Amino acid sequence: MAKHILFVDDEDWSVTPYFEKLRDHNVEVDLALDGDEAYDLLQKNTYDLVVLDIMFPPGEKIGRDVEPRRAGAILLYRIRQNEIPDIKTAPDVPVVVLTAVTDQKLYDDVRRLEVNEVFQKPARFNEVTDKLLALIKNGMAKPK
Amino acid sequence: MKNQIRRSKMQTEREQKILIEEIIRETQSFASLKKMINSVLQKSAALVGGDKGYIVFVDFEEMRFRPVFGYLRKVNTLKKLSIGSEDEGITGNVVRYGEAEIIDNVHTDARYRGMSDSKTNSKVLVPLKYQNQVIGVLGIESEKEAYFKEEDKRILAVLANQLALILHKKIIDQAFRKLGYSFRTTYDLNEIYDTVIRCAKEVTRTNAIAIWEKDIDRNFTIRACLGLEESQTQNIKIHSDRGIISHVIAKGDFVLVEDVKENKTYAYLELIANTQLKWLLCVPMFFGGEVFGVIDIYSRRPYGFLEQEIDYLKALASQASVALQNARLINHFNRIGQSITSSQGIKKILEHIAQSALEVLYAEPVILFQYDQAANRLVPPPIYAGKLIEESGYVETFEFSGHSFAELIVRHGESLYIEQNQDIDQHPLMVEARKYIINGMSERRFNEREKTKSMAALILRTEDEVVGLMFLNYRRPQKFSQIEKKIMETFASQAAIAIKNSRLIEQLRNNEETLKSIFDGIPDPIIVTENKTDKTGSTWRIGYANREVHKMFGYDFSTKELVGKNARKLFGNQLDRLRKALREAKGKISNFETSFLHKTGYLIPISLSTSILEKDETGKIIKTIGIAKDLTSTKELEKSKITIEKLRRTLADVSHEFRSPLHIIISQLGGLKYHLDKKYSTDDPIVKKVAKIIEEEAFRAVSQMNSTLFSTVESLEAMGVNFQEDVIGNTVVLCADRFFEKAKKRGITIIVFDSVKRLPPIFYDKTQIEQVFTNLFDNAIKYSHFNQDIDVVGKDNGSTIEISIMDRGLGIPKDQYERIFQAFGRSEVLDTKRFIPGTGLGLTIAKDIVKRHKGEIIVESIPFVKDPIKIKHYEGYETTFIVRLPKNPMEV
Repeated sequence: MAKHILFVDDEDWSVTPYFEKLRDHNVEVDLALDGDEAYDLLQKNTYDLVVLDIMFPPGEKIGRDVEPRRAGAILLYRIRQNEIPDIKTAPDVPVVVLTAVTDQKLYDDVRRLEVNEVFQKPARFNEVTDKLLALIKNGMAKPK
Repeated sequence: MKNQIRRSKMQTEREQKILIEEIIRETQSFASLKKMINSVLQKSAALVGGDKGYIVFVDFEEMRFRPVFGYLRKVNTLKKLSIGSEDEGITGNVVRYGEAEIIDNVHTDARYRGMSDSKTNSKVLVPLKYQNQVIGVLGIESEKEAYFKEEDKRILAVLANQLALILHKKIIDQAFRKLGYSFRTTYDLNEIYDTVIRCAKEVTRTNAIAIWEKDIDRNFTIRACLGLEESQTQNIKIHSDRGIISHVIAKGDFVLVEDVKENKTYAYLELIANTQLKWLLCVPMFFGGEVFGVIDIYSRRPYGFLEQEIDYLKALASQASVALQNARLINHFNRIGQSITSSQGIKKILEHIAQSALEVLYAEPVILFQYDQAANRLVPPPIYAGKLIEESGYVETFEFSGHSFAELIVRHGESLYIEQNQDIDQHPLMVEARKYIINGMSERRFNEREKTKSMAALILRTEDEVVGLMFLNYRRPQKFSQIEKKIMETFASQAAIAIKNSRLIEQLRNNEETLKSIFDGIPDPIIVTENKTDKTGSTWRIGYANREVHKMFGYDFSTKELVGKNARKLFGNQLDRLRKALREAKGKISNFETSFLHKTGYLIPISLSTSILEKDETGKIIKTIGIAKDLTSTKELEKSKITIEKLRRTLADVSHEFRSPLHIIISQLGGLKYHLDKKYSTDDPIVKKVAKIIEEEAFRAVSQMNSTLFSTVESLEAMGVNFQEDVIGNTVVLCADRFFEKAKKRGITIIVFDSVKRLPPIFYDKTQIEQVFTNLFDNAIKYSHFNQDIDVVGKDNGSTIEISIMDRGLGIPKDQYERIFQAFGRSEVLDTKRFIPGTGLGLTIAKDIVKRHKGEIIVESIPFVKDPIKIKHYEGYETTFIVRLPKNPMEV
């Protein structure tokens, strides 16, 4: 069965280069540019892996007044707490963080929610793709 | 009432005798003099069948009758008679001639002055005699005319003779009884003298009394007197071996002089020159068997003084002695108490005590030792007062053997009295002490050398502690009565209390000094304020201010300029607000934000933590202590904190904006490579190399950004400055060296002149100043033209140093001088030929650091190229950044 990865990042050019390689490895990929799209996709599909940035526009569902820098942590929290209605993805879905944010505090918030890997932008192309493929292929390596 | 008692004519002689005896016996049984005399008169009247009676006594000073007693008749009238004059009346006449009289009808008697009742007609008057001297009159009256007979006269005369003395004694007895409570406990010597004079006069009816007392130099002077020449009494001084006083001292008892004017020993004729005084009774006042004063009582009475009167006056003298001793004791210790509180030090207090012992207890010499209860020993050297016969450096050479007389007494635990009949050397403790003589100590003991005949060794003890031992030496044999021992014990306990208090106050004072020196060393300002009340009202004054307070507010600590000044000088009008807050906060407030006045008038914001030290009886605050924190730097800190916070945010954003595009570049590149490899199925080496270079450079860019920007923020975040003394030249050279490569690429040499290396060591934070010069060099290189050198020059200005970095290049327009220091403010000068990287933060950070060092950065940009076109385009400028730093920022 084809594996499915969800990317959440408002900077699509950051992640689209990975898609060709991933597809070549029989991985389906989706991209959400903000919180609302993330919600939609999570409710539509069952993902085997989520790659998300910490900072992105929150959208209505997360809350318009929420700061973009908090959007990632909140989304992840809701996934983990199973607070997204009709979500098709398991709350313990493996998560990889790929972000340009350098604020340690934000990292800590996210790490507390259990992620498999953190990549700080700029990240090497091969490093990222190899890691994603490894995580997908090794069955579901449960997050730490 | 009048005719109740009728005469019975039987009256055999025997019966009369029995009646008289009865009357005499009566005199013993009455407590009240008045009642007794009343009964006597009643029976006397009955004896001769009279209706009324009276007894009067002669007051020889006034020559009137006083006291007077009457039975069934008024007596005040009798007081009006003036004996020896026309108006002496019949009664007065009887006194004059000393003969009994029968008057058949007073109204027909020429002498009668109408002092009897109108109804009285006949009288019998009988003189009361003592030693052949008329001292009073007994009179019995009747309404009937010519009622009394010779026999009545005779009977009354017998009675009168016996009565005279008894009655007189009774009067003295009454005075005696009152004597017990005549003397109040008072420290007012004059009150005591007044009491003596009053009592003596009451009994003897004298009008001339003098009270003498001995000075330290053994001269007697008059302390109080009655009825003597004022002008004379002030100057009189008699030595104890002259005058009547010398007799009194020799006799050890009173001396009675019959005719003072004729007496050869009497030494003060000027006193009584113009008087009628005849008799002098000189009664001694004793302490310890030694005469310290006398009471002189003069009299005009022909018979001088009755035995009872002399007894009475001796008792009076004895009471007066005790009262005076007590008063003196109280006075001395009041003064000592004042000395203690006026902080004269223990030694001075001991001297006062010893001196007081001289004056109050009449000892000489007095030796006083302190005792250290903790160490269980007496503390030499002793304090002494009085004249030592042998001035052998006694005090200085004193040593305790552990077995000396003094130490044995203390161990014995009780005060010692060695009185006149005892040999000091035979006292068991002295015998014990003689067994141990240490080297260098004289074989002849102190008491031998000083010819001490009697001694008291008083242990000075408070409730819980022995504080000293006092020797009272007397060179004449003394005997200490119970009362005198009591006085000495009182003295001892007062002295102990005084010593204890002195010690406590000295301890307190030392603690205070220690506290003060601790406070002086604390780098926070500490202030003690006191509310002092004087005639003008109460003001808050600065009781203590440590060095830091003086420094912070511009006052001179070496003269303790602030101490004693009105607190408003510092507090300004915040004082009331502060006191109110303190009251409301129930004694303690922390971090009270306020401002204090610098000496020059400007306000310094501070945060004050203060608490109440002392309140008075009414609960009003009278002393507070406070620690202040200078908020100026905190406020600055707040400002820079905000700046840093903003910086951080900005930097975070900047970094994010920087990393994202880099990531895109790398990722796209990666994707491209992957695609190319896939498409052309080659692993093209050039493609590989290019991709690698792009990737590496992207990462290096990020790394550069991290190291130059973030570490700075982090170090500023650490918020501390660590001023260490070091040679700043080294730091400058270090920074310059780091830029060697970068500079070389542009043909630039950074020249650090000797003037920099020779700068004296100053206090600065190495890490932060490194950052400053790094940033400045970075700028200098950036804005310098190619092949131009950068000059680094140093200057010593005394309290500050300057390091100038000059580059030759683009320059900075004058209107940009401020802007370049602002966060992200970059000079708008653009070099059309090249791109100048930079975040615009370097100078902001440098300025911030220099400011923390209480220094400044100044910039100056002047053209050096003459070509006007080049100047217009900012091409030829010498730009100098001057860093000025104080040699010690902590002293600014």
